[in-house]
Amino acid sequence: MANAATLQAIGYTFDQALFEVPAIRVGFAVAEACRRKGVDIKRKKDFSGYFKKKREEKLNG
Amino acid sequence: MVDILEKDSEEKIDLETLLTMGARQVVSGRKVPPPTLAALSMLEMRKSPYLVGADAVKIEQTMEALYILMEPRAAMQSILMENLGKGYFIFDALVWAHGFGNINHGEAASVIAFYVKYAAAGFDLIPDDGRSQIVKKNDTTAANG
Repeated sequence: MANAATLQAIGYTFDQALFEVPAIRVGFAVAEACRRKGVDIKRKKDFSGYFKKKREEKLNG
Repeated sequence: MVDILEKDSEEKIDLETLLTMGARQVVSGRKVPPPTLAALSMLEMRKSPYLVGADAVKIEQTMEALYILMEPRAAMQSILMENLGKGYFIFDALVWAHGFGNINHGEAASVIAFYVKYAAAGFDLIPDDGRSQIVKKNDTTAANG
């Protein structure tokens, strides 16, 4: 269960985080807050240059 | 669907992204919201097979889980009353399900399992540094001393 400091970091109230916001979204928000604090988050997709690479792949077949 | 869930594929990441954006699955024509932290806590309290796993799932257990997902505040109150010996959660869940109309149980089971499978996707990205275990140990020491 997320604590008050974590909820403040992700910008949700306790009620929102518990009853309104999907847990998956809270999880990603907490992970992002952790990344900003310097935690090494295991990124599943690196978006740096991602779309450029996709375009190149499409152009090159 | 199972193959997509098992591997860390682009399709899986796309599904996670859609759920994070608020996409909802449909059961018998009605949109079902993905589980919130409160819903997951209640599924855990009820020892729901969708969360703790089981060889077989009873229809009542599916109705309970669906009730928790769709009416979390009412379900919370009902669980509290049952814990105080003043009611039965399963009764409230089945009364609610009766009002829902014809529920395709297979469809409901599939949607709930799908949601629970993805619920912790964001939290899974956070590495475990073992500190929570240390805190617990210290707390125990403080309580004893």
